[in-house]
Amino acid sequence: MKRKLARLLQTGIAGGALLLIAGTIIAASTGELVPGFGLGVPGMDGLLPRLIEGDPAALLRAGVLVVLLTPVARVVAVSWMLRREKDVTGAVCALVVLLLVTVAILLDLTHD
Amino acid sequence: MVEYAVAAALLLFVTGFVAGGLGALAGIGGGILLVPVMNAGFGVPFKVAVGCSLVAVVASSSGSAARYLGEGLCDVRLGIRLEVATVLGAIAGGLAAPWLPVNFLRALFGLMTLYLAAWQLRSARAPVESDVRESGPIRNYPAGIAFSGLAGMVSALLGIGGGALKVPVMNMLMGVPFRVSTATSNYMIGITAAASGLLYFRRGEVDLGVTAPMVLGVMLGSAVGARMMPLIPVPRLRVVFAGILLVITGQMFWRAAGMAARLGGEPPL
Repeated sequence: MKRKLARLLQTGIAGGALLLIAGTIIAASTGELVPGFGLGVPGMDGLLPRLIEGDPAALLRAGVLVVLLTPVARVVAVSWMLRREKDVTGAVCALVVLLLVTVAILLDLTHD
Repeated sequence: MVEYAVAAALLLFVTGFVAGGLGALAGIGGGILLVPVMNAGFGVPFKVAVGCSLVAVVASSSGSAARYLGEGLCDVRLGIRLEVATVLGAIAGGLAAPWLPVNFLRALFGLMTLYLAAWQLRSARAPVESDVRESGPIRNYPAGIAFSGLAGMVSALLGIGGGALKVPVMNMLMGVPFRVSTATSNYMIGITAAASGLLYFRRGEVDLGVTAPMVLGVMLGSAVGARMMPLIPVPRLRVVFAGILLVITGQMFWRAAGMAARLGGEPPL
């Protein structure tokens, strides 16, 4: 189980890193990467076509999203793996964590 | 402008590298180091700095946890059980914040981290310390869950990662070996930081120009830190952890005195 989880986290981090590196190189070469002044946060609409075009903001946005979603995927995987190993309490705990996190995001409960 | 952008990106990369390395060694996210650097050093607004640092914390947690899982240092079953209490505590803290005297809590937490730092330094000077790398029987489970809930609440109330409390709770209260405590804490902080990070991302409070170089630095730093951690003797790790706790203590007293708000460093609660 631990090796599978390690592989999942490595894949998420490597995917995010590739997108961030590609976005950073393109943005730096065009002078768009100016910290503190924002690169603009494009919406999710049309993200895929812009990714294919090599739009740096879209690449960076996708990279950040992949990084942020990696632990969420890890919790889903833990729940599934613990259920297979008949650790019902652990599997339920993972699902409860997932539910609480989703509720917190949807209801904007996180304190600044 | 291009030169400035490249120089700033390099500085952010190095900052991320240091924070990622220290975070991997001590079982914390590193936000306590990143937010002041972004805010004071680069003039990034406080909220945006917090949003960027949350992405960095997730990267640091996932990067180091991947390594620790591979080496069998993380206690996945303990981690997922404590995560329930931590997330519940974080939600409760977020909801209760407007009614609580946050500056008083900061001072109180500062005293607690000062005590924990002293405890770590005293333990580091103990003549012999076992270097167990697997959890044995866990003791004080109910108390550990209660304190994990408190750690989540404190992290939401005071805007810090919970690692500074989770490591001592697991190590001092539940009898989890120090290395396993820091590895499991690293593994746990990813999901709570991701929940907050997704919220900031949705609101557009993640500056991509700041986040990208810093997160890449964090990824590299946490990979190096996670490789080094199993090789460093536990007493030295305790000294690193105590140093970070002292930085947190200083920040808590600074913020409790209202200095950060007076200098425009954070919005009043």
